[in-house]
Amino acid sequence: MNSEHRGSITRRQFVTSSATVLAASSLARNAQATTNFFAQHEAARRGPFRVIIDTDPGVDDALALLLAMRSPELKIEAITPVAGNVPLELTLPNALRMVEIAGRTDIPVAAGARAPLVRRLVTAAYAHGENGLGGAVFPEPKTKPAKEPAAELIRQIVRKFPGEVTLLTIGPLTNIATALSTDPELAGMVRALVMMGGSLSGGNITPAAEFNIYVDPEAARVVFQSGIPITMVGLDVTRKTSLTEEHLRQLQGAQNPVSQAAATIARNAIEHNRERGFIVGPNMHDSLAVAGFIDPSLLKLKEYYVDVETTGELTAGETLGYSPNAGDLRRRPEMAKDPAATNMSIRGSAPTLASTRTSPVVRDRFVPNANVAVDVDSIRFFDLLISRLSGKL
Amino acid sequence: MKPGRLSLFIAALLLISFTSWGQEKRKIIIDQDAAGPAGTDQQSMLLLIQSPQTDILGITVVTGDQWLHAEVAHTLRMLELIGRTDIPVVPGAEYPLVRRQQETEQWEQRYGSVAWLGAWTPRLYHPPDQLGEMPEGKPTTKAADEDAAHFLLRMVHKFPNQITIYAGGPMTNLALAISIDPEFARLAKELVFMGASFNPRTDDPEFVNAPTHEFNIWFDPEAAHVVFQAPWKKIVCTPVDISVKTRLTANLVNQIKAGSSSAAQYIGKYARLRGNYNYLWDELAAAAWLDPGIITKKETLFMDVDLDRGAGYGNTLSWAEHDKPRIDLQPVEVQDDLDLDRFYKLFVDLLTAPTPKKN
Repeated sequence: MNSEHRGSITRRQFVTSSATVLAASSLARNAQATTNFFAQHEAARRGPFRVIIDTDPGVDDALALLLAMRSPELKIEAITPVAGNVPLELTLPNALRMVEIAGRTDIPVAAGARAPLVRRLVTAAYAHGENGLGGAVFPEPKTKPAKEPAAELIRQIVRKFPGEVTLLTIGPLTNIATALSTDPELAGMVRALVMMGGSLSGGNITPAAEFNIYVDPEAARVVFQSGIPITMVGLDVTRKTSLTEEHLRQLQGAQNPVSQAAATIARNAIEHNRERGFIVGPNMHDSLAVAGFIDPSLLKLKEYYVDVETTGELTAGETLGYSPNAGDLRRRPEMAKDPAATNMSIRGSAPTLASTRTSPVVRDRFVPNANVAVDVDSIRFFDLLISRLSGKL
Repeated sequence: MKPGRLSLFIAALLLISFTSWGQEKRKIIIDQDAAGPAGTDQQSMLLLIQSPQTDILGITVVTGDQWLHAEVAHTLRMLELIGRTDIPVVPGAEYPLVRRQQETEQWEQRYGSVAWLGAWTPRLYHPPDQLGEMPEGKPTTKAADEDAAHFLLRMVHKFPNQITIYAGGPMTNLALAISIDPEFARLAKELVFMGASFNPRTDDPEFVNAPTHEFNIWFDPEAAHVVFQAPWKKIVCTPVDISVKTRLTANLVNQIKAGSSSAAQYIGKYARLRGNYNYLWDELAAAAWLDPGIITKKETLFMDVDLDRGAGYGNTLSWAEHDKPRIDLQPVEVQDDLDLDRFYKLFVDLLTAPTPKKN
């Protein structure tokens, strides 16, 4: 935690060296045409990409971690476990187990937040088993976590490689929000953030909220309002991915430690899913976010202004996607780019009697802050996932 | 200064130094929304720095009364002027955990205007990356190259159970430290803060119709909630209820102005009196920690913050032992009444005393 342990570029050096860039980006960030942002992002795709994986393993997290560690497109700078699916006491050793299984103990694993920013922790042990890996048992990890806490390590790495690091988040966003809040300039130095989280078509833990956002809606809100270009891979697409017996057989057929571990986790997940009476196999939520970053052609994306409900009595953690070109607001193709479309005002709930205004407007103009995955090529996704986990690149 | 006054002054100084003689200096970190020049934030820090009892490990800064960057600059400059640039100034959070300016404007349209918006006050507004007016001059010294939350954590791990956390602003930095390492509160010696409002007896329009609204808590309600829930060994609260019994007067300023110390000159030059309600908010929290005898009445309450986004968002919630909800709440020592003369005397004496040298 000492300043000597910082990355090669210090806070002050960076500020001095790129003051103009920063001033421009911090002031104009929201006004910036987000389309350009994402277009640049795609145009500049040359790997490998520096990523930090923020995660709460978690059954599908564990598979997503194995996928990431078997993907040459990614240069994984750190893995930062957070409390979520199960408490940090389990997500931290589970992440360490995964780096050991993949033979990647060179990747630092840093302990993150034990609790959400404001709320008490709600876990999903009902879905992930008491050990977080669906009951799949692996030896105690020998590897030790990094000495820095997650938020500090995230900060150090992003500052060391300004503009280069993508945050792959597949758990609640507590660590990311903490890092962004402790360092006001950090958001401007993050290349992009790809999250598994949210939904524009109903939740899983409540009818409104997807689990990762439900656990820490305040943190999610900080992230969505940070100005970082976001790709949201939510239930809209992840619920179209179901792991099947056939996938399991392919994993079991491959003879290497990663595929065998993945098969053990997958088998437990499929059995647990069946015991609970579900008709379709377990969704590969987190792996899809990782795969969507590795191969963007797997996902169909659409620009939205996404905000998070943080106050609802029943709906906290709901993600709302505002768009002038979605659902009933869909325009004819030739009208889609009409400036009138961006004049759409973004509204909050109707005023109460005490209010003096007739119509509370959250934003008076449509400016997207996220690319939301609205469709997925599930077959190609599983081809990628299974071949990587089986050791066939 | 007349000879009679001078001897009194020396006696007071001796008293202060005797009481701390032979004792370890009291370690403290000041967490402040350090607006400047002068004003309650800088004056409270000066009291703590001027006291021979204290070992100031650092000043962590947070947006509140002004934006972070301006506050850091004012604090660095104040330390330059009194010759204590050895004290680290550590920048913290630029924004509250959850609250945003735009949402606050919408809230005001629904529920009425807020008397003090700190950095967001329209008549004083400048962007977060600018410093605003700095009549005392810009600093040449630099802030620490570490963020406040990690500095706070590093210090409590280095000196476990020894550090008082003095909070004079919104609690964002403290909440972030707790979020990163839940042991933070347990490792500190105590939390002393200015903030919250229960039922102040005052004709001040800021509180008449909003008795439980107080800026430091209101500006970052989620952070205050996190801090109140944390396992502190002791929490001491200086609320609006007692602040409104204090006043910075022209008489007090003149007494300080008569002193020759750099701190006295700084206050004499930049202290501003506006209207009838120039309370010594943060100064009292600092002085009562230095001299607990200033407080003549206190009580134990249990506290939280209203986090619902309705009309009461950010207001102070409080209970006594008999009516508190069945959840874990920390007891808070709340100050009710004070010996005003003793407080004012300490205030003038410390600010006119020579600045203690670096430890």
